[in-house]
Amino acid sequence: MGLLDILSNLSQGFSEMTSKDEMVFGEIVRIFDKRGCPCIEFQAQSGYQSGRFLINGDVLFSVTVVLDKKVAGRGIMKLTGEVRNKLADPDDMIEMFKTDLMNIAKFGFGGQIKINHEYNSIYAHTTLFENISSYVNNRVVDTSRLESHLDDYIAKVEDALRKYKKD
Amino acid sequence: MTTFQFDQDLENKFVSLVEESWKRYDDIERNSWLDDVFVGASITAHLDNGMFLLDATSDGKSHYFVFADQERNRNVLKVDHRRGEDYLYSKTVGHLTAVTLAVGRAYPDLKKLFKAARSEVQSGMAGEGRIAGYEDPGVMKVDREGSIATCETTLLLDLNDYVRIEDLSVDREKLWIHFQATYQSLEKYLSGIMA
Repeated sequence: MGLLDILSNLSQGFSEMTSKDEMVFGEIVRIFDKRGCPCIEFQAQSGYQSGRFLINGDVLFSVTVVLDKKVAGRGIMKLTGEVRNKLADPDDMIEMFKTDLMNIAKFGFGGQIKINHEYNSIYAHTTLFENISSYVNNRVVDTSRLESHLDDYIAKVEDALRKYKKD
Repeated sequence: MTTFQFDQDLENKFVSLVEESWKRYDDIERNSWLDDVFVGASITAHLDNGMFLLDATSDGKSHYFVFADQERNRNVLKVDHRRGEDYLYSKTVGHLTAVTLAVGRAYPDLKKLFKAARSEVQSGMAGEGRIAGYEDPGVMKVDREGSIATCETTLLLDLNDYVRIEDLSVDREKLWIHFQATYQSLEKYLSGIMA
């Protein structure tokens, strides 16, 4: 093996070592895609990836997953569920306005899930400290563990948002 | 003081105006998603074919991805999304997107890397951005990063050929065949240059 070969392998090895969050994010995109939930917004910078996926379910309209790498393979996974109510009737709008005010008063006491209203969308945010690297072993992502964790968090935000969904 | 006189017919009219507006809003929003649906499907296609995502960057103009396989070969994908959210452009011209594909191969032989360096200089002379900011399609450009030589080309794709706007489903088979065809030609050109 020549010097350049060794350097090439070192360079690739370093890239792989620092790219575990990208590997995990790639799998997150694939998990949603395989479920028929396409990526509808995407943004990435070094150590930061964000994807919004269209759910179009009974409760959730979309889910946004953010991976924000901090140090030593550890980072933050933010998951946001969105309920969208296409309000047209002024009576519904009045009711929504009252609910909005009640929720503003609750901010800061919501525990792990925070609710936020923006016009016709209601968001539930959850932030988790994760060892993102732990999902990757020898360049292979433990998809079933990742999928299971995602499902748990999606279920939590969905439960928190269910009462806000209008028929 | 004026008294509020409620007219149910007028309210019904308002409700129908809002509902019609929602339909138009949905159409505009759905059109703005098409390039990101294409990006997501492209990531899935590479992962389904034994690659993993090594790098992902967005610079406000393009999304840029590096994929690698277990043999440490690299494929690079750049999707220009400048026009992606332009509703008027998509409704008139189409969902045209400049997609740059590249293959990267490690060449531990120093002499061969000099060849890549020479081709890199020549590639810099290739025409680009002459029509509406798009690069000339199909031009092969060689670049070098450390001991890895890469060869790239740009295609002007209509995303409607891959993504159905109605349900955002993607023709994955067609997408991957088109990627494969491009990667094969790039690899052939790079092998020819480096031989």
